[in-house]
Amino acid sequence: MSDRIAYAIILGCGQLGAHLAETLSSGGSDVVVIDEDSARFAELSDRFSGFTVEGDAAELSVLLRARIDKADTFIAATDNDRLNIMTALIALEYFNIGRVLACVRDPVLEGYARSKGVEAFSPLLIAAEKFLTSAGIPEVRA
Amino acid sequence: MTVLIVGGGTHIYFIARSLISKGKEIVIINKDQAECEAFSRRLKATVICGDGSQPRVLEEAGVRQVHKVLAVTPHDEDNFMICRLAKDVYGIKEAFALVNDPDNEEVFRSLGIGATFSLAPILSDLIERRAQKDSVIGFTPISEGKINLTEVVLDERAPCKGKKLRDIRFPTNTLIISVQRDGDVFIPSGDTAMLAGDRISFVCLPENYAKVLGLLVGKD
Repeated sequence: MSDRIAYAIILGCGQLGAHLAETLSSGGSDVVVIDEDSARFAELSDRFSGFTVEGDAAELSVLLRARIDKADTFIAATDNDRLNIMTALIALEYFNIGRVLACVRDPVLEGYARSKGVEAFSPLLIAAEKFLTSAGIPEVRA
Repeated sequence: MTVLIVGGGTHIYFIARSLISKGKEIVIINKDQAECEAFSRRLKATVICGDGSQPRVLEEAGVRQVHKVLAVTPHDEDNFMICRLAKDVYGIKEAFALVNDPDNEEVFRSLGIGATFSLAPILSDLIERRAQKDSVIGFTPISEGKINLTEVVLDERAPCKGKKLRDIRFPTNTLIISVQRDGDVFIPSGDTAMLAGDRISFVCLPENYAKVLGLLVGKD
């Protein structure tokens, strides 16, 4: 999975989505950011030189407008677990995108998404893990 | 048999009421506290207040014991999640999803949710057909909308009135399915004569629809 990212779609222009969009864009990847609230695109700094699409990603036409059929990377980073999982599975199973990541806060849903081949991450669990590690407390992940 | 319904609104109440009257056990999951209280008062159903797209809530509602799941929230991502969890995690074979965006129907199907329904195309078709003719009283798209089951009522001016079915020159690929007359329904034969007041249901290819309609109820 260390292939270069040529075309990435990032769903959700919150702090996480905007940060990823800027990083990938300044690293030379083509990036499209989708958010239902166009005001959030103001989060994007000058480091971002990609495109933005305004719309609800639960509508297939919005994903198509972002040219999901051409993407090699899909990152779902809204604050809605279900939307992240649904669009990630659409990216993975319907559009056969090779690299699909999703931010999933609910640990059970995160486990489900992983079992279906989505690289799912829970910011909460990652933070907890870091904290416990630095505090020297071993954690057994469920 | 137990049916789990996730969603809200008046239609949920009537769906649940109808299923209960047919002897089904109903469990409803709904996010809205006030609506949950109204459902509990008015229905003999188990009502759980919570977010039905969360595994914890589904399990609290006894999802492992139910036979069918009906996901009818206004959010496609929630209906998707509920049906996928029902199938993949809880082993429920029959999970039905309301698909709010008709474009998502094909995607949902190819992602393993076979039983989907979308209201927008049904209602817009119905309005279009009803706007064309008052005599069309039922219109149901089948086979993903490639073909339609139509029900018409014959009035005194219907061109087919008094004719036997065999004598009406329907285009090939037309099937007259049933006739409702004086409250009884029967499957007609070629010898069945059409009468005013009959409710006729038929299936035909879309390209012949206008012609069949014209033969049965006439042109407006």
